[in-house]
Order: sequence, then C-alpha cells, then structure tokens
Amino acid sequence: MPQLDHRLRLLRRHARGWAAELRPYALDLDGDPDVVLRLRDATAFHHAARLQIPAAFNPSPLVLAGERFLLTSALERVVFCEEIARGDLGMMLALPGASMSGVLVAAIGDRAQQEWFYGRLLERPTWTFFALTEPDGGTDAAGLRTRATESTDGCGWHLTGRKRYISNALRASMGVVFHRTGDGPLGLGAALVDTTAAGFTATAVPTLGVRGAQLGALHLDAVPITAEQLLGRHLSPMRRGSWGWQRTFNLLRPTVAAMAVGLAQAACDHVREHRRVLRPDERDLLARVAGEIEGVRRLTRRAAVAVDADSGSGHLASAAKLRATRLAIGVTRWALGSFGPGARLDQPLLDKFARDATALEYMEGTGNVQRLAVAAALDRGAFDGYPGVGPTATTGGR
Amino acid sequence: MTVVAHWTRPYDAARSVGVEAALADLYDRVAGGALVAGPAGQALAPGPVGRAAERVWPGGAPLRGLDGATTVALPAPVRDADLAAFRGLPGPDGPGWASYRAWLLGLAWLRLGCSAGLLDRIRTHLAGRRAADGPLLRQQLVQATLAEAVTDQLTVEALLTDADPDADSVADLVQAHHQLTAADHALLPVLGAAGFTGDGPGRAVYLSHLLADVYLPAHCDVRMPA
Repeated sequence: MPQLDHRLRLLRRHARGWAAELRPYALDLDGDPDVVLRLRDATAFHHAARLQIPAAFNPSPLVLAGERFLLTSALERVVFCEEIARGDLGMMLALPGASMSGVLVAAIGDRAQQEWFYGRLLERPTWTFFALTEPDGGTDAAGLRTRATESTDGCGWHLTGRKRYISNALRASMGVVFHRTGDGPLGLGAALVDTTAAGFTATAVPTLGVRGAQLGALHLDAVPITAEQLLGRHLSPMRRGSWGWQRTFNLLRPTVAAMAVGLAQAACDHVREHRRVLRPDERDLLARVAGEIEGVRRLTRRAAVAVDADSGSGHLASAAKLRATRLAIGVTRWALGSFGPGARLDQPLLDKFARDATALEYMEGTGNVQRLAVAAALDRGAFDGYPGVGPTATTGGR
Repeated sequence: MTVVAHWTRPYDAARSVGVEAALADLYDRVAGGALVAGPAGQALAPGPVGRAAERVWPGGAPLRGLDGATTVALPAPVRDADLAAFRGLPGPDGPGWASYRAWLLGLAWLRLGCSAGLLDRIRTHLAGRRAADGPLLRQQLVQATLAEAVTDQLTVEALLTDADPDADSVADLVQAHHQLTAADHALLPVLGAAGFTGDGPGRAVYLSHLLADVYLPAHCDVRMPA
C-alpha cells in the first residue's frame, strides 16, 4: 500500500508544517546542539515528546481533524519521520520522546516497566537513549561486552561496560542499555536505566553530521539497577533477548529508511528552489532523481506495512534501509554537484545535508549488514515472487 | 607507492600527519604565500597564509582593495581547523589555467596521500576486530571494498606519475580527483561509526573533499590559453 489514505495524508500534511518551523534552525543546531533546548515552543518538539505512547498509557494522544495518532505503528512513524527529516534530519534526531527505546519497551517491556517509561515521558519533554553500540564491537549483539551482574546480596544488579555513538546521550534522562547476563544468546538482555544513577557517565562524541543528535559515549561503572528494570523479565530469555531485539530492529528499520527519503527529498527541494534555471540535461536528471526518491519512498512504506503485519518479517525493511541510505547519500552529493565548484561553502545547508546523510549508513545496521540480510532472505525465498534456492529455502515464492 | 619527488612532502604529510600540514606544504610549494583561488573564487588556505596573504594566486591580484573578497565560516565539524576560507576572489582565467594545472596536480597528490592514509587506518582498525565468523579483514564484502579502493588509488597514482605538466587540459586531473573522492566514499563506511567522528579519520576525508569542492573546476569553467 504505497499510497497513503486520508488519515495518513492528514498526518503528513501537519508534519510537513511542523518541520517547516524547524528548518530555519537547522544550521544553528549543526553548530550548537543545545539549540534544540530553545525550541520547546515548536510544535514538532511538543508533539515528538508525547508520540509513540500506546493508547493504554496515553490520556492525551495527538488528534488532528478528529483523527487520533499514536505513532505506535511503523507506517505512521514512516510518514511522520520522513516529513520531519525533510525539515532537518539533525533536528529529527535531536527531538525528545520515546524514540527507539519506546519501540523496545513496547515490544518486550512488562506493564510496570511501560507505566514507568511512558509516565516519565508524559511528565515533561524527556530525551531517551538507546545504548546498543559498543566501542570495539559495533552493533553486533553476539559481541556485546557490557555486563549485568547480580549483587552478592541478591538485592539487585550492576551494569558495567562502555557504549559509544549513542544519540542524545548527554541530554537523555532515561534509556535502555543492552547487555548480557551470561554467555551465549540466552544471556542477552536490556535494562531501563535512569541517567542520574550512580556510576553513569556520558561524554560527547563529536561527529561530522547529525550534530544536533549530540552523540555520546557512555561509561557504566557498576550502575545499580533493580530486577524490575530488566526489560522483559516476564518473557523467556529468548523472547526478551535476540528474538525480541530482532523484532524491534525490524520495526525501526523502515523509520530510518524514511528519514533517508526525507533527507533526499530535502536536497532535491533545495536544488529546485535555488537553481531556478536548469539546462535540459539537468532537468532530466532532476526528474530521474525525483523518480528514484518516489521508488524508495514506496518501498519504505511497503516495508513498514510488512513489519506492522509481522514484526518478524524484516527483509523488506533491510532492502528499504539499504536502498534509502544509498539514495540519501547519492542525492545529497548530486545536489551539491549541481551547484558547481564551491558549493560546500556557498550552500552550507546542502553541505550539512551531505554530512548528515552519511550518518544513515551507521544507523540500524550498516550497508553490509543489510546486504547480507537481503541475500539471506533471497536464499530462503522470503521475497514474494523470488523462490528460495539455498539450503535455507522455506517457501516457493509467489 | 612511487611519489613524484616534487610532491612527496604533501603526499606524505597527508598520509601520516594531517591535511592541514599537507596543505601548508602544498601552498609553500606552489603559491609562495598567496591565497590560491579556485574556479568559484573561493580559497581554503592554511591559517597563517590566510592571515598574512597579500595576493591571490594564480593571477597575482593584490588582496587589499578587492571588492567582495570576504572570509567564510568553516563548516561546523572543522571550524577548529587552522584554516581560513575566503570567497569573492579572482579565480583562474586565461593563462592562469596553465599554472592552475600544477596546483590541481599537487592537490591530487595530497588527496591521494589522504586516501592512502585512510586505507592504512582502516587496515589497522580492522586487523584487531572480529565478526561472528572470523576476522573482519577476511570478510569478502570488506575485502572487495578494500581491493576496489586500492585499485582506484593505484590508477590515480599511475595517472599522476606520468601526468604531462604542459598538457593543455585539466580533464585528466579532474578525473583523478573524482576517482579519489569515490574511493574515499566507498572506504569510509568500512570503519563503521568510527569513520563518522569529528576527531577520527573521517575528518581528514571531509577536509580533502572540501578542498576538492573549492578547487575542482567544472568542465565549462576551464578555458585554457590557445
């Protein structure tokens, strides 16, 4: 369903307006990540802070023209995030709210954990962090080194380890820390962590792009947590570990793809707006770029529909993320090139877009991770119309 | 790697010290204390040159009194670099393009050094890392990327080594620069997010690309003397 229905078009139209409010601050935010703190009155800031809170915990959801939006579905997130990223990707990632942690808490948190997490979000605009990546192992879950160890008195746990490249690490007041409690896949876990806890330290990691997201490094020095903070304690070790994580990442990947589509569209818009006179070959190229963006946009929406139907079905999401990242990087570089020599200094917003685009490569699995996932899905016949041929084939395709 | 002797220092500095040091050497070698203006009238100069320059190369125009010549803020991730950016300068024109070829050649050696340095750092970085099924350096997708990049670098080296200093076009050098940019773009993601930090290898790559953006002419800009 690549075409949006009335309800989603309504969301898109409003989100586009909210993003336009943020755009004038995009370059300021690039220079100073604290600029977002001065945008509390912006509509997108206010809404982002309270979205992704499920109906059971949300007394005042977003209502537009009588329609209620929770952004708990991947398709709604895709529509919203594309438009906000079209305003500015750095701003999108700098906004407060449930963000990636919210998807994990919704997927594997128990009722009390969800009440605590969403309750904090409802109190005031609150930033959250999602601490998976580690300095030496990237996002490879099997290589996680951060440990949760049970206290000798049996009264709680302690988290020890290091995380790196964590968005909003310095301004977040809570988030999730991925860790292991033991060796092997059954030893994987995630915990809710309050950033005021003893032993929790966050330091800034300067980046080339999406500087508004203020990436940080976390140093966890025996951070005390209670058993109640271990996410998914009501689930089996597999379901609260790699099984649950995989589904969460599948739900998140179309959102990252949508951000890439929004950024590519922003670069395309910039060329249209600032290069009013185009040669015929340039007009042809612009039309091709617009067509390419639309193709990836539709693939991304399909991927969102697929994970909303089955969160275990992440192969289209991998394809969308792979192609959307290439799109954003390619279109932002093309846009710079279309202004000729000196574009990076003369068009600082486009230079920023091109720097921001490279961040997408590292979000939710690199290009190579997605290529391997797509290849494995092709082998097993997961793509409709492409029968499996490898030893893992399970279906005959269409 | 055999570097033409004249360009050894900017190449080596870019490969193992940093872009700022390499650019200072290149400026010393080519412009003698003047600002080097690109085809859009911009210059990116070492800080000391930017603060003291009195003329613009290649035309030799005095900087003082140039209408519209202004400094430009550096992009946020490199604003701490000891570099100065300008716009509104007279770019290469007429006979200036012949001299400008030497600048593009030296800049290509600098950028080749930067690209080779990136490959060095990637190989060192990956040597100590493992994926689930073995060393990252042995992963076929990684090996393919490194092989393509080193092949690009070798191609550029071959082109630069035998570059004709009196050629009546800069097209070959422009191609070399674009090939280096593409090689860097392919290589950097291999580092993962470590290549995206403002104080990591990506910073030098970004500066290299900023230099290319300031100094690479579009085809229609070049009017070599008859």
